[in-house]
Amino acid sequence: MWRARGPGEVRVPLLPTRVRRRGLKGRTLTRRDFLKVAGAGAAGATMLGAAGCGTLANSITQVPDEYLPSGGSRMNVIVVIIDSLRRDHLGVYGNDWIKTPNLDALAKESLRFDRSYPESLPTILARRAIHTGTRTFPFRDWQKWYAEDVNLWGWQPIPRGQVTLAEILLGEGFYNLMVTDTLHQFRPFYDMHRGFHAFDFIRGQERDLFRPLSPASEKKMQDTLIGGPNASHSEEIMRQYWANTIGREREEDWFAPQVFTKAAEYLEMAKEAQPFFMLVDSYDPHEPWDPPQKYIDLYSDGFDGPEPVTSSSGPSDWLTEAQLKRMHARYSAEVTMTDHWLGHFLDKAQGLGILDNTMLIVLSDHGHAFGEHGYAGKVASALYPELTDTFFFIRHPGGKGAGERSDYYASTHDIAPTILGSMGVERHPQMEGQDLSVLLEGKEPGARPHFTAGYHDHVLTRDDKYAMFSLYDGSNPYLFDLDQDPKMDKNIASSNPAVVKKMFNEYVLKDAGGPLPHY
Amino acid sequence: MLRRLSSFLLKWSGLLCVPGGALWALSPMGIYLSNFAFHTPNVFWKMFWPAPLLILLGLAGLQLRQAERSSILNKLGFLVATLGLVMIMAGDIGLYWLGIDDIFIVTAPAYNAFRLGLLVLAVGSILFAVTAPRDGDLPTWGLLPFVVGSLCGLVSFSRDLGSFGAVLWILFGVGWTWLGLSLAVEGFFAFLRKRRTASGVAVKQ
Repeated sequence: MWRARGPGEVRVPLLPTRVRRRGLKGRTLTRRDFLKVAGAGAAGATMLGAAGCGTLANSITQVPDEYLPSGGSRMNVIVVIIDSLRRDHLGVYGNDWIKTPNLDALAKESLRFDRSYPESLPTILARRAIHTGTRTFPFRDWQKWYAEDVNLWGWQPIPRGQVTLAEILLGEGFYNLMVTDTLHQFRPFYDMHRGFHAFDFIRGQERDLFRPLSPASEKKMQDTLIGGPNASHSEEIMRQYWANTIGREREEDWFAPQVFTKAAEYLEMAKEAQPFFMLVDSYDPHEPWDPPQKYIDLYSDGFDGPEPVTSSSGPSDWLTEAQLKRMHARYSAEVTMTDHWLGHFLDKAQGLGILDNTMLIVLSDHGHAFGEHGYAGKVASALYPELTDTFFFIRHPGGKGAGERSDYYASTHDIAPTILGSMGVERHPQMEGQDLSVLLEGKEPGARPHFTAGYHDHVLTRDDKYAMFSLYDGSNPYLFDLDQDPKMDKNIASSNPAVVKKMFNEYVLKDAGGPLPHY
Repeated sequence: MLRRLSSFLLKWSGLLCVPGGALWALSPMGIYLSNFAFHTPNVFWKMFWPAPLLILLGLAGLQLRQAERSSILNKLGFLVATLGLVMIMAGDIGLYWLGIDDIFIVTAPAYNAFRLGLLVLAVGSILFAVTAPRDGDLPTWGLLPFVVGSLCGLVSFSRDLGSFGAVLWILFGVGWTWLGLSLAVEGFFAFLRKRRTASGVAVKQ
């Protein structure tokens, strides 16, 4: 019922007599009432929000801060680290003679990075960055934990003050599993298994002090080529390795098969505890290279003499061309064996339906040289592509980014922020890596116009135009024009001192936050 | 006798909003206690479903009282709020009793039903209150704070606002309790008026 108040007057509702008598009861809530209430509510909310310095705010902070149910869309996460696998040894990156069918197939379903490098290398430093999302470079406060440990700058356990990805996911209700044969991590004080519910260390790789030396291992030494710049070290490794591997019969007894078979077994357990985070860390195809003969036969017709199963990191001139070729063939054979057993693991995951709700990240931590620039192994002063270039895939269960490529400088310390970002979990302040999952949404991660990495007393840096490596203080630089010389064969440092200076000062020192420490 | 009893219960089932709203308002405290005693909020969330159920029964009771005078928008508000409450209960049971999201971890149907249900409930509550019929049984002094509470709920359900959000969550529950209490108070005064009228008639006779 409306009462006209004349031209120009506002029409107001005429309340029925009965209603007026009964006060407010029975009235429909008018727009005016609603606006008043909404205004009051908004004002109240504003007051509450603005009361940061008042008693009201103090009262509010006494109220528990949790009130919504936890949960939501989640994915399982599997990270597979394949040690020492060179980028240029995968078919999907252009290699036409090494068989990696499973990795190539996986690449087609993944976002693939064409310029991925470890934040620092070698093994333990890459693991530290992967576990913590934090850079290990420039190795400040490095200390060797015990006399027998690897004497490389930054080679140490995860610092106590740093949080690991597994610990964060643990807090988010994930079930965490780890399978690895990568030695060094086995020592409890390395603390790489922090935050994992279940972990399995496959023992016996390389110089893992797993079994006592025996006459049988001594006999095997006669068939092993030992020599080169680190002959005694190589000899020590191989003597232990042959002792560790006595009694192997079937292919399943080799290390990569053991790792991926155990990981496949873990999948069944993990499926019952979703969401889960699984880290599968295969030391193969790291040396020693002694895969079953059928894999070696794929790449070599035969060889007379002691087998070159290790490279004795350093100059490669102690090796004949035939020995280098055989060594490379044995490495390639181990690449194919690792790929085969990775495929076994992926088949199992597919069969269990796990890949439908799991983000899979597969990467390597560094490469290995086979005489390309006069070096064999992992030499800190020879930071060429064969050593520094890694592969890096991200497979999203929804197919996001499948078959796409990125030239972003993806790295080991990006793993943790990427996983947390894709889960919508807040990253820890310590984490310096980028969330690469935004690439799956068609967005760009934080700008990274150049890249820096450290290896012992040397540093590597690169941008779109140049790559440069030098000693920690900038001396003894090597500079390469990546447009003209992508394989980095011709050192042009002496003719481009300004570029060297700029790259060292503006990239290396800036990323390091000042002069690099030395020990 | 049975018919009169059921009619009475139906008529006053709207009062179930009082315990339902109170339980809702106590949720943050329940989560805190659950965390304290069991190191997980899930023990509380397992026991949360009676709160939306009581509110649902109370809402149905309120709607029954005013069904004949209810506008289409009011009916829509009731239906939306009901849908929200059903989604919340389904989400709660699916998430914490049946573990559905542990199987469908990517789609998380139970969790999403729960969170979406909260928003639907808040929107339905506002619509239900602002379109409540004239001459209905719900007094304006009961509806106004209820609308404020529903607005608070809408804000707190939309994203996690920490302690501030918990306060708004509590106000949402208080709004329902207030609405139920207003029905009780109005009913009490109506009863007194009726008695007075009846005694007046008796005196006249």
